[in-house]
Amino acid sequence: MDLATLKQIDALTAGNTYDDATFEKILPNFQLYLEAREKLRALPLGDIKSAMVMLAGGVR
Amino acid sequence: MTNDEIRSLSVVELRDAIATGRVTAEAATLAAIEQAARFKDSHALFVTYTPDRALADAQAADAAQAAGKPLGPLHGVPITIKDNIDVAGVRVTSGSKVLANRMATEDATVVAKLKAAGAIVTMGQTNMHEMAAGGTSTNVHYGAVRNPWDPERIPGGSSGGAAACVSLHIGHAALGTDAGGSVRGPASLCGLVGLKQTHGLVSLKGLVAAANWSVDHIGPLTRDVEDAKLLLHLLQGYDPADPESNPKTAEPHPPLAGLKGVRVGVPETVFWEGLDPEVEHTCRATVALMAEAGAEIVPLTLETIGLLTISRPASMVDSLVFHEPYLREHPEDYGEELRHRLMASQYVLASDYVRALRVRRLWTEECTQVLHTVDVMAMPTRSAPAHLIGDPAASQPLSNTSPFNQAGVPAISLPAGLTTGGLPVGFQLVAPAWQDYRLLAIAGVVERLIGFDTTPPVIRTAVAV
Repeated sequence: MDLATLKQIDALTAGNTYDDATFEKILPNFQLYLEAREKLRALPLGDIKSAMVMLAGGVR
Repeated sequence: MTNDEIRSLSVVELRDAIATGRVTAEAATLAAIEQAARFKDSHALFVTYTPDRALADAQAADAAQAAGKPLGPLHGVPITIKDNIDVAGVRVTSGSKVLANRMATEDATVVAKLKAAGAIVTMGQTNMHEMAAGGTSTNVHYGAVRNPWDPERIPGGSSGGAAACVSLHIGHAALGTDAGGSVRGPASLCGLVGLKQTHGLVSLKGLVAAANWSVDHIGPLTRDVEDAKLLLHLLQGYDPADPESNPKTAEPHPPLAGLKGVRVGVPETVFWEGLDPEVEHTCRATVALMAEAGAEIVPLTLETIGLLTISRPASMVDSLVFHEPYLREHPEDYGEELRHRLMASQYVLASDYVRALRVRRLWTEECTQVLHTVDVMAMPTRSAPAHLIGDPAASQPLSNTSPFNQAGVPAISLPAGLTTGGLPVGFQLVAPAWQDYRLLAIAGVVERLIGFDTTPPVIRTAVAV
């Protein structure tokens, strides 16, 4: 992921048009998301038996 | 009784001393104010400091006692409040600049309960990590909170000011908040007891809930387990004003003499990996002490805990909606770290967020099931002792505490010992949901086995006099 791609994503979604210095500081945080995303998407989370999403502590 | 002697009393001891006329609420509050004057600036302890208000409340408490009015179970005991918990008429900023002018209009339910019990809760709002979004309490707006055991080091966070105050004997307990370890982490690094009870047992009404309230808790930081138990007893209870509040109550449990028959799960996966050697040694020694006291040690292997580390997209997005308007209008009012993390979370896809929630759910199920096979799980609270302020490693993941916020189960951090460098090491016990008082009973035994002195060297000489 490079700066130009992040700026493109911003333009297509949030539309913030930050300056380059701001995008450069956002980029490392966005990279962390991309790394987690790759691993998440590799998991078969669509067909787990307990796919229902509940509140944490939903052991009530 | 000297001011040092008053300050060294636990909540229970001070409550009894006031009730029997050996100490007044005013004397206890003045002793706390005297200590705050010594440390509040050097250790950046408060965001808002209101000693006159506390003194007036203490004088009113003494007048009520003199008039023969019934005394509450915390009559005259000074307790500090973290800066993201509302106290009516007081500035409450959540350690942020964007809320710097926010005045609380009513008490949080927990504050109302403490006031009803007679506590003096108006000394000030303790400093914290900005918006409770981190574990250092190095606050760019209100100063870096310093660890009482070594002022060059962090106290942990986000309830760093709360922990530092209790440790320095400024107030006899504190309320903190814990959405990922923000009570237990500071308790661990400052040599205190920190409790995160079952989710829904204590009301969150009046908490500045910037992040995900389904993992958040308001919990006590104390100098011993008995005080934590008393505070939980007073804070708990269903609150219809808080949708997270649960009508179910934690089951009472008597104190335990020993640990015979107690099954202690030791989850080697993740929780005992990558530890500082001294932290590992201290905590394994504590497990050995539990075994000597009769506990059965049960090694556990957890299958889904490793997945939690990739649920980051959920934690990135959880607080975005709260911050979005401020972020758009006044981004410069945020510290750089938080600002850019929040900005990045705007680009997380909804489908990835839901994937992360499903991973959390998998862990919650496994945690719940495993906890039904043991009485408690045991592990270090933090993987390392307190880092130096400014050390990038200080922002270590809260991997030993946040899983139990996801699962909603009760967890407590106890001081287990000191490193050779004199830094506290925290030991965490985790119990099944609603077994909070059994957890406290077991923690009480472990506390006695360890025999830790919670007084940091900087005030130990004065206390010994």
